[in-house]
Amino acid sequence: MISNLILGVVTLLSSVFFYRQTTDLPERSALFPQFVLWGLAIVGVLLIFQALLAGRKGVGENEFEAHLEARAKLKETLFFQVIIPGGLLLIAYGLLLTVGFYLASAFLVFTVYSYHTYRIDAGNLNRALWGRAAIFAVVITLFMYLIFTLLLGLPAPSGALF
Amino acid sequence: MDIVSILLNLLTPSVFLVVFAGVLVGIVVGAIPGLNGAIGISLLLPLTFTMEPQIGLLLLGGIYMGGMYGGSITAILINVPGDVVAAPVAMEGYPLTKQGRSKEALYYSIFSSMFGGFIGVLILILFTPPLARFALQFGPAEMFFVSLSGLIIVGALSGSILKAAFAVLLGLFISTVGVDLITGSERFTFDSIGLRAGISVVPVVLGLFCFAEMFLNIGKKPGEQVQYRDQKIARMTVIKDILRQRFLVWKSGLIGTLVGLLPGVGTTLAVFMSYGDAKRVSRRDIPFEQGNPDGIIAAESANNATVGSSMVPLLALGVPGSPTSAIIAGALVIHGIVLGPSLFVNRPDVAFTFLYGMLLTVVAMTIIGAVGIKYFSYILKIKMEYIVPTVLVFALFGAYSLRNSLFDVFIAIVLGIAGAIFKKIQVPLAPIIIGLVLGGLIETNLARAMRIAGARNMPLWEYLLATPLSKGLVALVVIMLLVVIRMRHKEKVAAKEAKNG
Repeated sequence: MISNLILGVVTLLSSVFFYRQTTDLPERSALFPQFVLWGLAIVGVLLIFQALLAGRKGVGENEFEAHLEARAKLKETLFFQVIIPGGLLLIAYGLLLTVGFYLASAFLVFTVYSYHTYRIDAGNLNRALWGRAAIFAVVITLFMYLIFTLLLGLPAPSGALF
Repeated sequence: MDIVSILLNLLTPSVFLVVFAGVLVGIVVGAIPGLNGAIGISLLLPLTFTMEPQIGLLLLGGIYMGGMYGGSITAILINVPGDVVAAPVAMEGYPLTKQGRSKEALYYSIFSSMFGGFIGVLILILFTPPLARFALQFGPAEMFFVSLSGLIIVGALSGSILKAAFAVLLGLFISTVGVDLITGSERFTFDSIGLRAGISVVPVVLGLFCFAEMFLNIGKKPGEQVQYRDQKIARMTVIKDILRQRFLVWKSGLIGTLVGLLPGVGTTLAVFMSYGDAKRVSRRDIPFEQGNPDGIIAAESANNATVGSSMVPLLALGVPGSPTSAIIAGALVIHGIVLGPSLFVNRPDVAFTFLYGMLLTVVAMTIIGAVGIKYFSYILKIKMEYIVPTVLVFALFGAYSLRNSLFDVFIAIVLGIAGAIFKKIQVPLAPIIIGLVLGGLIETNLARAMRIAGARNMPLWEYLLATPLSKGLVALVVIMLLVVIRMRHKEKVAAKEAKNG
């Protein structure tokens, strides 16, 4: 249970780090966060113990391959379904700050549509797909502009340039 | 507020339009695998900002109600539950589809949802105002115990105890970020202007539920669709059969209602408990998992009963019963409405219109569900490559629009990444939201209790347990906890038995 071990270590270290931030606070403001951070630290230690105990028990021969397969799948998921889409969203956030919401949205729709189709079958990545992605991005952006800005008059985030 | 004014508020074209639109969106969103009512509500949140609060609330209530039913459509037609909650319906509904009886299964689903929905909403109407009146007597000690009970129950019921405790504590920690309103000192802000205002519920929900869910949907292929020749069946035949099983409907509806009342427990437990019970008591000759309608009746009655009852603690005590109701609470902040006992004193128009308006959502769900059956197969044709990017950009806008803050967008993205990781390593997400919402209540009431105890020169615990009401609340929490732990144990045993055939 490597994930439990990592979660436990990160929780423990973070709670120590944040606890140190509370030492300069007035007693009344520090009390509740300190209580919560103590709780998090204890949970972190218990998660580490649990992972170490599970590690000591080991995995049976029959389960070993399944265990390796699950770990490889987790790594693949983390990379393709967390890091890449998360990165795309962070790029979109950067665009939001510079060129505003609607252009950033068009970028996000275009890239996520293309990436999704690529993940289903890498062979799908061709000129027709780019065309479909671009049309879809424009349609969705216009639809949002129509609903939020023209119909409801809600302010959309504007960037430094637009 | 008298019933005539409530009816006058309700019987307007705009209310009908909003309720029907909300339910329709809820059904569509619920039917699409990977989406659910909570995501639908988060996405449509910005629309409610320009509406009157009670109408906005009814739109969200309609999505909640429709979303609960929508999950059963794909479960029955293609054996892909829109949500985990719809898994028992898939087990009984899909075999019926393979026998050419999908229409019959869908009728069982919608009419059982209707009965369950009515039971939940009736409980909402009957119990919320008296509970709110009673809660007006609550002091800091009682409110502290009520909020704490929500956390304890969430922790006890969400998967691994350690991971649930982590999630609850993380939610509580997030609630402490920002300026402390009592002393004015900044906590964990690192001199960031965005963090000074604290972290609001809506971007957290959008991050943990919308972004994380969409990340994990990327690359998913559409479910295989096979067309079966369907037999004709009259709606009344199904309704009469459900009425013959009225004891099962009431029992499942009440299980859903009771579980829905417990903060943060969620619908899954209610549905599986009712399904397990139906398996035990069903008198039909049809084996379960081979198309026994009793399984659909029980699961769907319980499912929709939780909608109304999960709103009871939110409206009466300000304690959300589910992540969905936490988002609804967040949406009301923009209208300056504070949920809790004072809602019925300060804004009875909003409170009562919503309570009775929820009956309309059940009616709308029944009409759309019963009439729209032939169109449901079209929902299955919507491809994930269109859904994922659309949901992402709508969620970006939703995160921004609550406080017009780009920082909230950033928070939602970061928590989306964290939420996807948490989901993969089986950290439950609902307790984070409940912890975040209840954190403020717990801290404020604890601080008040400490101040009063200090002024009376008595130890804190003595003050907290000074009144019979607070002692009663502690006893109630302990009893509730024991009951739900026992229920969960029974559920586990039933699941193990089912696994072993």
